[in-house]
This record gives sequence, structure tokens and C-alpha cells, in this order.
Amino acid sequence: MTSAPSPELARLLTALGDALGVATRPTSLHAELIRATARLRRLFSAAACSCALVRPDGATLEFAAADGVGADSIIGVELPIGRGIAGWVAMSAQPILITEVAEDSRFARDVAEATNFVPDIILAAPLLDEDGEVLGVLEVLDPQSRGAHSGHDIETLGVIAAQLASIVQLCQVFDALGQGLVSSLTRSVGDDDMSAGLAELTASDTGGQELSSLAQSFHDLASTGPRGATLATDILTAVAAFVRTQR
Amino acid sequence: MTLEWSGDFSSDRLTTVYSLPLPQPVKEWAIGDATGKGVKVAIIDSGIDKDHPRVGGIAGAVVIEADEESPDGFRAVEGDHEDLVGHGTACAGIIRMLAPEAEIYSVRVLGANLKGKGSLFLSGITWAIDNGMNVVNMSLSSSSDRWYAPLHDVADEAYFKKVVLVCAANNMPGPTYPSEYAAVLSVAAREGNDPFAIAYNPTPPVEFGASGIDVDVAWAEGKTITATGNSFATPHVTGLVALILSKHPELSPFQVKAVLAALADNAQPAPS
Repeated sequence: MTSAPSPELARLLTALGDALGVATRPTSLHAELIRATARLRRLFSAAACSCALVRPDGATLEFAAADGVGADSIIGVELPIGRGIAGWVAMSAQPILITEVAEDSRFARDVAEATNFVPDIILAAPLLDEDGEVLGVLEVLDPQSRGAHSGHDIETLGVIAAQLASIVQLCQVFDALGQGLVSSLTRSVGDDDMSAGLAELTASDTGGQELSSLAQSFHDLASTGPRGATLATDILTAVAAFVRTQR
Repeated sequence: MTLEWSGDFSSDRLTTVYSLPLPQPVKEWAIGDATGKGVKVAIIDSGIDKDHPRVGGIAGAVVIEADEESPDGFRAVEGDHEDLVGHGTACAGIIRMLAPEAEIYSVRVLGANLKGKGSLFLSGITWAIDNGMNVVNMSLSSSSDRWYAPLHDVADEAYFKKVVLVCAANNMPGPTYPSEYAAVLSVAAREGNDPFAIAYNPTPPVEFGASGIDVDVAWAEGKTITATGNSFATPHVTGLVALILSKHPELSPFQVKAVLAALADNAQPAPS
């Protein structure tokens, strides 16, 4: 930057800085999903619980978190979307509960190949974002603590899946915001025109929402006091310094 | 509240609904000895294993694929195909159990990629309308607002062309299309193993409850499994619609809906 920022630019920087402060809070998506699958497994007294997310290509599910039997070996495993129960749940957006799974090798293959574990029961529900797009699939294998009937189990998992979907979507939005901010800074350092970069950034459409309104929402969220504002400023400064060193 | 949809059909919460004063007994008048003969049923799903013992063959099969060069944006590839999961076979087996002589068509729209899913879903319904189907089973749904209007349009088109759309509701928070539209028959699972037993929900949007909890269904590779979900309740209603249309082919979708409501366990003829 070669000149002092205008009041409008300073306002934008403050808002975006606060937003980044929220975005970089010490809770990662991965840790959140790990905690959620562990709690869910305990809730259902299940052998295992996993959460697979839809990859950007739309053709693949990747297990992002798991707890219980085979958890270590299934995280990171990618499966074609058109295969197995997780794929059907993602494609149909319908929750489902299947028992006697072990009798159908094909049905359980997506789970079994990755974990060497073939469950008897699979309970699965889609993760839907606020626009109704499928973000991933939540699966509970061999739940022992069941509700009054199978319908209740599906409804219970559906509620949890909805909450988890909110976290996933929020994290993805934060990622998009951070990427947009870094992109803007990168361009601005090159041509000394941060105003133009920010104007473009705030006018852009990210994840179905205008980033400007997104930033304002984050700003409101981050308006918790001077410590938050200081942190946001520090982070923004650090990001800018980092970007400069990368050029 | 969507999560109450299945609960609305539990026996302790069902309230009596008034129905058309059809000739008694209603089941005899509505279905009688009908077998589904003469009725074309499309199952929009993951494909159908036509050789499964509970399916016993199908009348036709088509895979709906995206095609940017086509004016409609899709192409219909006719011919045998496998069931990618087993779910479409489960639906076919249920419909065959209720309507053994119905002509079942597999319309596979679920495939290898989520991108374009809504478009293929829509195209599958369009194919069913254009190819003379009488009833369409959709054990899948969309919650995407992007598809609200297009699906609504095609649901209305089906309605006016006398094609009955039977759609699974979704036990997830949020909207579910096209099951919420008044032009379609929306279905949720309820307890009970009687495949002919349905209930009418006096507090829609989900209007019909059918067997869909821990039901024994066909699956891939000739197997059977026990499954729960609104997606398994839906083909029970589809099968009943096939029977009604087999006996009363002149009925329109809203008339079929009225007959179904009269067949509900909690229905009582309206006082004259």
C-alpha cells in the first residue's frame, strides 16, 4: 500500500478483518466433525459413526471424520457417489435405515472395503445446506441404543445432520471468505489498488451469498469487544505480510 | 414441523377425516379385484433389477443422462440397466406386490455425479409425462430452492395431463420438493406391515402415511433386506394408485387423491 486508506476503505478493512477473526477461531471443521461423530456414536451406542463430505467435483464422497471401529482407516477414503448407501443418500437426499446389511455384500461394500467391518445396521442421513444442496452424508453403523421405533432413529439423526450441516456450511463460507480476502490482498499488493480489489471482492458472489453482506454478518458476530478487534487487525496484518513475502 | 410428519400418522394421534361418500365398502368399489393391468408405472430412482424374484420383469427401462446438445438438456437411453444401489428394485418389488400386472418402467436418474442431479430429476418426470406413464413413483426429493419452480411447473404439467406423481416426503428439517406441492401425493412412513393400509393426515403438507418402518424389501443381487424410510412408504401408495387407475382409468389425479383419502384407516364418509 502506498497511500493512506480512505474512510470507506478503512471501514471495509475493519469489517473484513473482524470477519477473518471469526473465521480463524481455534475450532477447525475437522475437529468439529471428529467431536460430532464421537458424540453421535456414544448417543447411539454404535460400533462406528462417520461423516463423508461431497468433493467439489460432485462425483466423490470423502470420509472427513469417523469414530469407532475402522475409524482410522476410513478417514480420507474417497468413494464414487453412485455407489453404496452413502451415495444413494447423497443422490436422493433421503435418510434411510437398513438392517440385515451384512447379508448383502454389495450393499455394504462401500463401508466394508475401507474398514474391513461389515455392519448389520446402517442409519444414514444427508447433510443439506440452507439452499438444500447435499454437503455430505452422516452414517451410524450398528446402533445399539435405538428409539421407540426405526422412524424415531431416522428423525433423531436428521436433526443432528441438520446441525452438523450448518457447521460444515459455515466453515466452507469462512474458507471462501478467507480465500477472497487473500486474493484481494494479492492483487492489491501488485497494483497498489486495494480499493479496487476490495470493491470487486465485496461485489462478488461467493457460495451463493454476496460477500459484502457476509462480511457484515461476520462483522456483527465479531463485534464482541476490543480484544476481538485487535485480534482481527493483527491477523489481517499478518496475512498481508505473508502475501507480500510470497510474491 | 417436518419431523412430526411420521408422528402425525401414529395411531394415537390420528384424527378422523371426512371423505367422499363413495359406495361401501370403499375398498371394494375403489380397488375390487384390480391387478394394476393396463396401468403404466414409472419408478424414478437408481434403476431396477428386473430379474429380482419380487420384481418379475419390467416393461421398459431408460437412463436419463445430461446432454448439452439436446434441446431439452438431456437424453433418454433406453435399454436394460442395473440398479446402482438396490433402492429402485425395492420400490419395484413393493409395487409389484400390490399391483402384480402393472407395467413397470425403470427411469434411472441417479448416477455418478451430484452435479446436474436436479436437472436429471426434472427430466425423468418429463420423460414419464411424455411417454404415457399413468403414475410415477419418486422416492427421492430435492430441498434446493433452485428447483422449486421448475419442479412445480412439471408437477402441474403432470397434474393436467392426468399423470399421478407420488413423492416421498423427507424427515429432515426444511422444505422438500416436489412432495410439498398440492398437485402431487406426498407420503411418509408409518408403523404397520399391512401394505394396503394408509392413513390420511388432516394437517398436511404430507397427506398420506403408509407402511415404511422396518419393512421387508427386495434389494440388489436378488437379496432382501429390512428397511425404514419414507422412500419405502411411497411405493405402497403408488401401488394403490395403480390399482385404483386399473379399475377406474378415467380418474384424474385429484379424484385419485380423494379416493385414496376415502381408503384411509382414519376416513369416515362425510355426512350427507
